[in-house]
Amino acid sequence: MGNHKDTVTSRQVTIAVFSLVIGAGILTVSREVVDTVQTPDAWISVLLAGLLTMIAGAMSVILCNRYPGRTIFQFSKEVVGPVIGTVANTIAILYFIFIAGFETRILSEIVSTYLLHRTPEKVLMITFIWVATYQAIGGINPILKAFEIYFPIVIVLLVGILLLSMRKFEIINILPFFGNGITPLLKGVGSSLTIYAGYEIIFVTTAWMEKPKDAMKSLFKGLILTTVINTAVVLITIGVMSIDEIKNLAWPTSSLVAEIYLPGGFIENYKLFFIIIWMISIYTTFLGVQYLAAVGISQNFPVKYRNALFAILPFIYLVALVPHDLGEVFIMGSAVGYTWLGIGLVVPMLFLVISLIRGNKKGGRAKQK
Amino acid sequence: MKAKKISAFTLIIIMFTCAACWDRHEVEELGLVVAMAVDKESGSDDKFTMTTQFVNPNGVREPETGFKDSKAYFNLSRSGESIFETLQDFDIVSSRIPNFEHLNIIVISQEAAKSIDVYRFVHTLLAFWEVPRNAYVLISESEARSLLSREPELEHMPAFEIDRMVTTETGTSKKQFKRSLGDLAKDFAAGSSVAVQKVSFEESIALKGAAIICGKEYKLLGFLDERETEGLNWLNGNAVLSSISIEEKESGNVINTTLNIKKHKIEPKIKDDRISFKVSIIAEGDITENWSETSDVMESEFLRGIEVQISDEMEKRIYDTLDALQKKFKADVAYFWKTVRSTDFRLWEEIKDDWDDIFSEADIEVNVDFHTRGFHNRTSR
Repeated sequence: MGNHKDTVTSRQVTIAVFSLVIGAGILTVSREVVDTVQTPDAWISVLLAGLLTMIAGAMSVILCNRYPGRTIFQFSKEVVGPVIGTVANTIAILYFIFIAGFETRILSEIVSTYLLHRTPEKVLMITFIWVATYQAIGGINPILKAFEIYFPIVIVLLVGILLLSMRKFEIINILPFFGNGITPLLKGVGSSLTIYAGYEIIFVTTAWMEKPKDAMKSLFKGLILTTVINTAVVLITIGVMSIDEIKNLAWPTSSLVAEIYLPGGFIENYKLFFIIIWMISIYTTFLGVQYLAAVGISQNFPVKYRNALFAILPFIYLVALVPHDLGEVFIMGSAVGYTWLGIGLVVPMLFLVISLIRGNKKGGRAKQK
Repeated sequence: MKAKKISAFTLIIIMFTCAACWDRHEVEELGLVVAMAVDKESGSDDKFTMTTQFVNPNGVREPETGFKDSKAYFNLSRSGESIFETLQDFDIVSSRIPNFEHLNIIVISQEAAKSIDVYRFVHTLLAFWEVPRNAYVLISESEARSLLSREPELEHMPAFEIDRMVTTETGTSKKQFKRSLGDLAKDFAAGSSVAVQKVSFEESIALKGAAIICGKEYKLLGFLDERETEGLNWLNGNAVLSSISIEEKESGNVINTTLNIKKHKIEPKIKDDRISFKVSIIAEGDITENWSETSDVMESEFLRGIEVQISDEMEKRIYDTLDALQKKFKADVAYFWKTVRSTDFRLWEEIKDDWDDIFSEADIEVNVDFHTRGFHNRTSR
């Protein structure tokens, strides 16, 4: 399946970008950024990283629009030749499987920490993978529909939780700006870029958009939204927790939620909402990357989409089992991020440059005809 | 068709055999822990005793007869060296599984706070996922567990009584502003000393004064008395509707006003490596008690005089507090360090390890500006 005739609306692309980017990374991003930057203005790095991602995203859309109706898995062979193209595609597929495994592991870590303490993690992972697979069988459209359904729930709960935690926000905790100069902030951009992994869905969706010209606009809407959310999460976590405490927190965002207290005791435990949000966010991210991996396989190798989907399941599960402890899970998280720097940022730029050089010749020939 | 039937049958069988709930907890089977007391075990340096207060649902529910058939709470104690192990050991003595998600109050006795590392304690508790960051920490002057076994008059159980007392903010600033586990963790992580509420036992449970825990050794340094605590609350801008009394200059009559900190600001001045601070506080209040025979609260001149006198009195008390913090304890529990960090980050990174010494020598200028808004329902006496 992986129905290529189905069309995709601009709004769906925006939501898809949001759903894929907001995933496991946001749980730990504050600690990672603060650890590298070491100053209270670490959130600026997150903002800058968002802007950088937008530039990379814009280039990707320009690239995709040069090959209308085809996904990156199809046109990459034309850009860099069949051999390198296939190699590049295979690496991308492995990368998506890697992310899928990582998201599965993070989900099981959170659920077993906060919700189901005695349920074996393997059971959690297998259940999760199977549910996502059931949804992914239908191809791109059911997946995007699911994103559309989850999107308002995530946004409302997320914004609600951020607003509630503002009660304990101390402005003195985020001052001063540029207190240690701009260099640490630039270092922080590197580690905060990793949370923007996931916009790659546009490499595939642009091909099937109703109006491919809108791809750029939808991408930007999605990325602006995610940049705002990511920056707000880091800013508020620093404002509430202060940088010294963040370094001690395994899941800073979850501890932020634990700080929420409303007098009157209407609801005491806000962790519940937090778990709902992040189970959904991780689920949508997983669904997206699982789909990308399967589509990649079906368009590169003589395998049907549906079979590819089932074929990658054991690999996803194996990847999820690799880390021995929580520390290794976090290392795996940074590994995902840094791989993305290559695949999500550098490769599209390279492809665009090569495509521009080669494409010009072609355009010339087309005119002569 | 046959294959379908077989698979459906298999699925149904699987559904029944594999259905499981590893994490099933019936609410009635949980032992909700609402308070915890930490005491030092007598005769041992490292061991401490933990007492937890469980809710007894049968006692909370009012039976039809109108009589409570049992107490609303019960306390259990265990001793040990490891915090987590001791908590887990409650399984041995409790018929219900202890659940710490509703832990509200943690009372540490003076003896225990002097000997155990409070930061390690806070850190270990918070690492345990069930313990909420919002549980309030208090230091008791006497034995902590005895506070949890005193039958309360108004509330169902001692933990609730203390919790209500801790969270009420209006009325007085003689008790230190509440501090939770999360607040302590934040301050200790930054290497800051922290002042927490002190609980003592007089005729009833009383929350007055503050206990100062050092940000270096994480041990109890000592207590601030009520007056000093009041000064500290004003410094931190935490006073919500408290009151202050003075004697009028000319007649010596007592005049009392309410007091509400409207604005407070700490400005650091960094000059040639010497750090000084300027504290400006704007407070507001009504005249509530006036024993003066001659004066009239309608007269604005009289009010202006009172304002100056109250401002001076507040300044004096704040200076007393600062004296105790700087000379006696060398502990910056009024968060002057935060203002330094937010002004000059690089300097702060250099001096933060010696902050307690720098703070104890810093010049601090306090400026209080008190305004009366007027008086309550009656004009002159």
